[in-house]
Amino acid sequence: MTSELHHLAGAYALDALEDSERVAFEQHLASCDSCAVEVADFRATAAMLAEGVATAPPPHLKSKVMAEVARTRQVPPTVVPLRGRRPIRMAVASVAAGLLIVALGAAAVLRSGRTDGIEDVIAAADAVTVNLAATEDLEGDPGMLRLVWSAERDEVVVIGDGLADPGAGKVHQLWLLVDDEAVPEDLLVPEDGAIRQVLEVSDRTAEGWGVTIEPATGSATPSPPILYAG
Amino acid sequence: MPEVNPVRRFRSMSGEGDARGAIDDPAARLTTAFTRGGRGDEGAFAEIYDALSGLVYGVILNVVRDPSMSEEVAQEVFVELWRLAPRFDAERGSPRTWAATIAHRRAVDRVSSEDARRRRDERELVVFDEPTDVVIEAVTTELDRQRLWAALATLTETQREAMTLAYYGGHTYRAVAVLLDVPEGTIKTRVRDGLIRLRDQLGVMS
Ligand SMILES: [Zn+2]
Repeated sequence: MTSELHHLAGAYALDALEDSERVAFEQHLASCDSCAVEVADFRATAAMLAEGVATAPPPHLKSKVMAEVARTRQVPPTVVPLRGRRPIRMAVASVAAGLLIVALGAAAVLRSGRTDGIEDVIAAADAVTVNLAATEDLEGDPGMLRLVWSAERDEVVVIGDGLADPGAGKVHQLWLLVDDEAVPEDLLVPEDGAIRQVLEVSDRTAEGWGVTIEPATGSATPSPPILYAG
Repeated sequence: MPEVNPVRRFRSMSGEGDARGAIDDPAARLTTAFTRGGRGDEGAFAEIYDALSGLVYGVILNVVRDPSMSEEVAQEVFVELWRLAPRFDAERGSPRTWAATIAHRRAVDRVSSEDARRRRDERELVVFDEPTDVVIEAVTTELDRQRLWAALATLTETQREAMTLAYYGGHTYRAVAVLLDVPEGTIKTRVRDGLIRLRDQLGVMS
């Protein structure tokens, strides 16, 4: 199966996979370096094919685009975690955690994420699927937990089923792992163990993801153990 | 923690030129414009539009075929490029590859909701009649045009056919297999082999 997936890199880079295959390939891509390099090369190659059919658009398109641009808000810039800039990152992480807790206290809507816009994230050109595997510390049936992450959109879709109840006054929280740090993300709010929600992500450079159980307001630093990781 | 590193994939995305070259290099100018555009500079974004509009509109038009629908999709793509400009990172790849990737994806999404058979009939005319003529029509520079033409010429007829139907036609490889009446696995291989050869011929690498 895996070797078959390797051969989908070309069709993937040309957007020529059906949706189900694309999801399967992206799961593979997340852990296959050779496919990742190949896809990057193939996308650059496909861009040359696009150059080959470059065609000037009608002149009026520019003013339409610029008018729309004038009323479209940009995403906030990403904090790039360069080595040696750790103090800045820590400060940012703490601020983010502070905001998280304040916001959670104020509005229950925020912490439950959104259910609209799931398809937009999944269809994003850069979307990758990350399966979160249960760690040894998770007791009982782990169910299924999966992320579809678009760094460009700064959003992650959380899809899960059969998740255990975290207990009274407790909640599952998502962590973004980068440079050996855990950056707090939003809380997961499953209904009857099932979850399907979009969360905004605070950092584009995630190297991994984890889920812990935290007090209902969420935490700024993870409380061990990590129950799911990917 | 299992080794999952999608980051490397982003960082390894290649461009067709080094964006950090001399300032009269169009690639460097475009990268600079993205940096300014990412800080909300609409004037810089107008430059970006000028540099990328042919690329974005052209690839969309080839997939979507309908000019007014292509215009709509191109507008969506530019607004998306503007929205995401603060996150643009030259380390991750060239602006042209980024724009072409988003534009093609959007175009395919648009047509996959259209009447597939009607499009297929139109497409057969366009792609099969004169694949090379379609390709060489309006490349940015003469040099690029010649390089692409020469590179495409090294592909086998069947590789070129499978690749152009998939990319310019916006078809899945399965649909291409049906169109050409050959096994799916064969199309998968032709597409990949064609891309590898084109990549090597054009010297694209990450
Ligand atoms: Zn692979």
